[in-house]
Amino acid sequence: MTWPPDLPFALVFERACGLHPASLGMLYRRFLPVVYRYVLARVADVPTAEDITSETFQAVIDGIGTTRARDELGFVAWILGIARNQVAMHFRRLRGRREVGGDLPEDAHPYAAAEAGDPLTILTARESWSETVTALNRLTQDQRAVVLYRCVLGFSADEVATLLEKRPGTIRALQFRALAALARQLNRESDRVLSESTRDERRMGDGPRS
Amino acid sequence: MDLEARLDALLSSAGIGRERVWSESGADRALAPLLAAADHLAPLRTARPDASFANALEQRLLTQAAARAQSSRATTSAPGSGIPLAVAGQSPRMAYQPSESGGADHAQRNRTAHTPAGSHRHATRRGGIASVPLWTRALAAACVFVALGSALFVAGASAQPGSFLFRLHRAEQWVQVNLASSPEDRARLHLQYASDALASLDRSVASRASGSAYSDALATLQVELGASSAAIEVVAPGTTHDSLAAQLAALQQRARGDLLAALAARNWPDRLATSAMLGSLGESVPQVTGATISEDTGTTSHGTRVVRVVLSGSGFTSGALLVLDGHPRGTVISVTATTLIAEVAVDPASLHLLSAGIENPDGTAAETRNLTHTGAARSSDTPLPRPGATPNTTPKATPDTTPGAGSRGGHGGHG
Repeated sequence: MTWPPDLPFALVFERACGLHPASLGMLYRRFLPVVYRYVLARVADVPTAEDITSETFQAVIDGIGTTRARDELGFVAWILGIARNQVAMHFRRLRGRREVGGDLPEDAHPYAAAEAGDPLTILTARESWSETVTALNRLTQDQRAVVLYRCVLGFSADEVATLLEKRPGTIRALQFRALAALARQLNRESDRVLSESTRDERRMGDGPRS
Repeated sequence: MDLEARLDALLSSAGIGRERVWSESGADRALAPLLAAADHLAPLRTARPDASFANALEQRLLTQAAARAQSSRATTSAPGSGIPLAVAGQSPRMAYQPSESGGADHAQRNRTAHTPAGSHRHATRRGGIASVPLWTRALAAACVFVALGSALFVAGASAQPGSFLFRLHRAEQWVQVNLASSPEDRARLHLQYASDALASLDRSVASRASGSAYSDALATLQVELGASSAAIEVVAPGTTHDSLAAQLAALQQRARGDLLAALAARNWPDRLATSAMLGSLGESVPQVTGATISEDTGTTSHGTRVVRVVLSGSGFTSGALLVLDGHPRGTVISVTATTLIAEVAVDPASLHLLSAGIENPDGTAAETRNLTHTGAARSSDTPLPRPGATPNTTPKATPDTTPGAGSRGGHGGHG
């Protein structure tokens, strides 16, 4: 992320720690997509992602005066840590009510509005998206973090290493294993969905004969 | 290059609007399933929250922050002003009074015991003051302080945005809100403060006031409208709630009209802030999500380079102008609701743009500082170095396709 030379992150952050409205607004607008995309990748349900994003930023406002972050990457690590905790609390609340990472609700729209209006695209995308989130949630915590930071939020391997407090070589190895695991999970999900739809077609073909 | 490093390089080579650069080598074929798995996440890279959700959340957060800021100021002196709040009721000098365990005589003995030789006259003067009982000194100091504070508050009550005493005035308003006995009274106060802020804004526009008068009034208006909305939400449903909600709606309607009228006379930063405020009030305003600058368009006969600027976003209208670093530039070739294409003649030596934006004919404006440079001379889509930029110290830019992320201006037309 880039900041204008006359308004570097350090200055904006310092003012935001003092609850300066304009600076808080700048931080919010800059990091809203980061948090939202991370949360959406975890819950795959837009209303829930909005709720968790709201809770995350409210916690940011409450704690920004006491955070130990001193630079932009430190701030990102802090804010994503809050988001991760909020997602964990959400899943704890859900435990026992429904399977974690289950299917998308009917009204969920994970894509940008540019793709709206094409029912087939939305339907197809929604089914594959559900598989993707289910597969993501089956990775280990470190694997999932690397995949999301690298492939969704666009951080480099070096930056992910700083965010996760690991060495860059470790991150590259982790990212390799994570994507391999994700590929295996996605294949399993595809096979499961294919077998379920084949079973449904057979059931319909064996319907009552006239 | 081992597989892990090759995978990392392939992941880094792909991005929004860029095709992954890979070969048909055995290593790349082996990595194909992993890259396909990464591509499953592609929709998330451009996922955007709904505009109404983003705007509403911003208002709530700013209200929350304002409440926290005022709460912390209530227990400390106003930062930077050196003027303690009257409600604190404590003279700062009292904090430095030496602790007295006895009467005046004891205090005098303690002081003279530590008085250096040659400062007898000074010790005598201090001994004279010390002869007055502590409670009397405290009462006198408190009376002076209250009188001073009252005078300052009287002066602050009429202080206008942009003036030093305005902060004191806002502190006084916070005191009144917190002393309000009911949610209805708090809501009425916030509505009044929002109305006052709008009036101040109108005055600054009419008088073409310079300085921070306009921006202070705009910021106060934003905070108080948000606080009014939050305060009305906790009022019990009924006639009073409906009346307050109607007052807020009317005030918001007036604000929209006044802000639209104010646009033409404001400078570029004020225009951006005003457009953002209009967007939060539901007006249709432009939003710029990205700017691409192509440098291979050609050169003019004078040797300057002609670059093509493509703005992406929403809410663009016919007749819009391209604005670079706060100044209208170039010739607009085409404009749709989501794209503006313009050509600009620039001096190659000065091609260090900081921002690219748009101004609609109605004065609403937006800009982005996320500029992507493309051209035949460069081998990768790396932005030109800007003065003061320090590479490798900030995370790679997440493409700003959401309200305000690298984009300043309205939130309207989003999604």
